[in-house]
Amino acid sequence: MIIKLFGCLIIMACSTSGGYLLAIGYTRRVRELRVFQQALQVLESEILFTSTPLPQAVLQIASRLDRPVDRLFGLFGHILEQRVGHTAGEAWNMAIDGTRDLLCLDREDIDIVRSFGQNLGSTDKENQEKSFRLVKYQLETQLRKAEDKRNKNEKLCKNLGFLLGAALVTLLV
Amino acid sequence: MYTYEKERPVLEDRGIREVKGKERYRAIFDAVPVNIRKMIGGLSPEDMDGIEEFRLKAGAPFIVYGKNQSAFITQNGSLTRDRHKAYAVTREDTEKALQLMCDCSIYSIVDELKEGYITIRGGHRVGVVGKVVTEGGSVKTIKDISGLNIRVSRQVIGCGSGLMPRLVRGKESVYNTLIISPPQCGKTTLLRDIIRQLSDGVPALGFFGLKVGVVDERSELAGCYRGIPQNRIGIRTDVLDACPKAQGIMMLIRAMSPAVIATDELGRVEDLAAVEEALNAGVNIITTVHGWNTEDVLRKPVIGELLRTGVFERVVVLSRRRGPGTVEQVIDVEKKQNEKGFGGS
Repeated sequence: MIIKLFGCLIIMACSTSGGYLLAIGYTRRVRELRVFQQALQVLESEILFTSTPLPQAVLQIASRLDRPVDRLFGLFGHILEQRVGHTAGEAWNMAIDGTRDLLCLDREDIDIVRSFGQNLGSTDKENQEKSFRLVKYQLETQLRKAEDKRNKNEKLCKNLGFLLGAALVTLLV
Repeated sequence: MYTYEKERPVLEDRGIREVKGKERYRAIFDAVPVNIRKMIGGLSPEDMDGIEEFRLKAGAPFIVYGKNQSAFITQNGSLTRDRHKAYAVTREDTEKALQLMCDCSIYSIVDELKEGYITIRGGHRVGVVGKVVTEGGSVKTIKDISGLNIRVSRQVIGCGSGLMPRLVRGKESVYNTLIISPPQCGKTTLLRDIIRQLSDGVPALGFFGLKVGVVDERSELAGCYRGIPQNRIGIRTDVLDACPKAQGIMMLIRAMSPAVIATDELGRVEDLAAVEEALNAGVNIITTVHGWNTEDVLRKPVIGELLRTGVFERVVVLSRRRGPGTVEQVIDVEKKQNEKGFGGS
């Protein structure tokens, strides 16, 4: 009897936490998108107003960001600083590939961020401003989508996890 | 940046020494894409030391210039005279190189690009050509970069040592000096070393060192990269980088109380007033001018005027007779004027 009870508990715990983990993914995506927005805002003013060289600007920003986005910027700045012959676009791609597993962003978000990086540092201020405006707009849209998704799915996932566990337990008992 | 005390014993001031070794080319390596780094890296140190210019032009062979000759660089990093063996530079190479030169921050060098050149780490200067974008008749920027000319900056530490006894007046002053030189004869290199010695002091002459102000309009003297001099120009030297000469001279007089102001290639009309202002303030002037001899320079408008009126007390004439930096003549103008030298008109 005790073993049965114990098994049920384990099943319930697993499915509930599984549901929570899924739900957390949605929340984290929203948070990461916000951090991205904040980072790009600072980077933009560093580029447009103080003309800070990219490696310095990026490393400075990386030290002020929340995890795990700081990892991406840190890696990016590090690659640039090493001067191993990569342009900013290449370094940006490498940094994204290197930190992608840490991020909760979906494919669409990553594509937007990736394509933004291709122009980074390779044009004059006017064009930099344009590409910042574009990426900020795109991220805003993604953020709204992500928030909708979170609101819809967060509770659902949590409840579904619990209920699935409960259903399994009833079936098995 | 001024770590010179550690690296240079005072005695070395007496000898002529060129900064050599791989570290000197570090900045040039960093400035070019990886495939070209490999080619440059394949050159022997002797070849490398002879090179004055690396020319990257999209669609053309990779050319280097040095010692009045040119050669091509092959894919595997050796010099050749056969243009068909040369590496053909691509558009991607030049665009990428420009990005690497400015730390992937084109936006930060737009003002320099307007002038057609940028100064990179190490004080090397890079000439840039491509499509020029104009706005209201003046150059706004250069895009579609098609050609880059990396001009290796050569510091020859000590090349002015032989001249210093003629240029200093006592222990804490210096004569107003004009260096006359045809192009490519090392006038900037010489001026740079004179600046360094005036600023650091010359122990052999008991010369302590003066506050020197440098107006470096074309970023050649100090070779500033983001405001920091990349060349050794002395511990008491203040540099206004990329500043128009006339304005710069005024700014230095007002702000930095220099004893000497040095500039390269004085000669515009507005420079005249600035030099007068400097002399009135008791500041000495050291400058250079393009020319073959004093007669040649006397014919030039502004600088000829200054020479005639006896502003310059010492005139140094350079040539390439025994290699760049050959000192043909050092004229003591005070003596010459007593003999009615320049004051002819």
